Amino acid sequence: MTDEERPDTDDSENQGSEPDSGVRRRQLLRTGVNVSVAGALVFGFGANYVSSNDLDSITYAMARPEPGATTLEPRTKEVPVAWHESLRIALRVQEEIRSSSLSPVKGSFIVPGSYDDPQASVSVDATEENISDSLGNLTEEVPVEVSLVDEIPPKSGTDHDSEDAYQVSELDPAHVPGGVVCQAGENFGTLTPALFDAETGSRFFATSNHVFGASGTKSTEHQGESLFLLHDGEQHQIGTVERGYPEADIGQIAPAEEYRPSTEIERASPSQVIGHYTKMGLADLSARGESLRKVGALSDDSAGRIKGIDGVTCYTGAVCKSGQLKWGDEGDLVDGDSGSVNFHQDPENPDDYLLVGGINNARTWWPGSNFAWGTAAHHLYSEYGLHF
Amino acid sequence: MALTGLSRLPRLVLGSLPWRVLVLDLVVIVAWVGVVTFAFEGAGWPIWLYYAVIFSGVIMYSVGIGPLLSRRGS
Repeated sequence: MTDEERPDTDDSENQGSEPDSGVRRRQLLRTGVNVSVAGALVFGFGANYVSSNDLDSITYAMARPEPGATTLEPRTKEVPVAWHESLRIALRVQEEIRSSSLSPVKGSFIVPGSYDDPQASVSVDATEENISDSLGNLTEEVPVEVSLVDEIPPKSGTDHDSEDAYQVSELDPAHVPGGVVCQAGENFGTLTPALFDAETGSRFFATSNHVFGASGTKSTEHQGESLFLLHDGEQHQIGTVERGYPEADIGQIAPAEEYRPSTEIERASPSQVIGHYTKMGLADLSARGESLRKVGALSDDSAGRIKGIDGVTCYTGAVCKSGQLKWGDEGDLVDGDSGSVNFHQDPENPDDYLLVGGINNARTWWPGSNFAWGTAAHHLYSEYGLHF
Repeated sequence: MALTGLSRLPRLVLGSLPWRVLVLDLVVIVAWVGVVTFAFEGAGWPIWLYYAVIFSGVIMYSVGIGPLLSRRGS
């Protein structure tokens, strides 16, 4: 301090380097003052003003305002613009891949970025190595990770006994929850929680369409077939097939007179389903590293990370399926868990409600891949007007 | 000790730097922060880049351009 107070004496002492030392000190002081002024402006208002524009609003879920309601309301939240933008570009690229329907592509999913590293990418399973060239034209802006898979072998049937499956604990016709075993012919599946028709608001039972055989390709051929609930080893007919959706692998079951689907999932905690995550909502869960859970009739409770959203899959069935969600490991799902839903707590009411991610239809059984997948709930809603 | 040091600071600044220089700098910095802030607000570039641009600009001005301007002015 004392030096700076006497700049002139200093200058006069160092005639040789004059006026360097004094000028330099003055410059340093000036720089300090200027940086302080800029700092005050930036931290006082500038940074807030700039970052106010760094957030976009997304609809992360569609939820019923209360459990008894039949209509959905959007839930919104703020997300970083860079992340949102990268995801939007990836969604567009995925749309291109879908519409180009390249036959070597067996599966294609978007892997959302995290909030620290917002770059979204596309993960493609293909049977030919040179697919990268064909994809290159479509995906210039988005990193694509291609994994080579052999032609997918037919799935070997594994027999599970219905006795191993979880049966509904209490047979209350007015309250039939999801997550319990159901049977159609020889096959077993898991019931979803109540499925709503968005137009009429009526409730349906549902499970994977492939539970009714023919690899899930039936749409109306199995109309009127019965679905049974197992309780104490006895079968109870709870409804008949209204129709099947081969491209979503979901079967819609009209309840028999005395039975009413409940919006709860037995053995889940909390158990009350209140709605579903949107595509953006699933991406947000993925960005935050949150898990999805499921309760299946055979493999019970398990959880895993989201591995891809907005997918197209051509692994099974006669048609490729859109709006697919992949998560967890192949161990998270066994035959008989088909029709269970994956879910995550409602962020606004984590102790009370669940939001569904999608229905679980299948898992990998070929080398090189390891995940469970199925049709996302947002796709059921946007394509077929069905929701949980 | 620190208090007396701080209380001397305004006098020190005014003593070493002519008020015209201070006013000039203030005008330039307010303009600079304003322009950069509006640009970043519009373009949605990352916040770390915003800090980097603001402060490197101020330092460059204070060390390089400012002295030339104020010398020419006086």
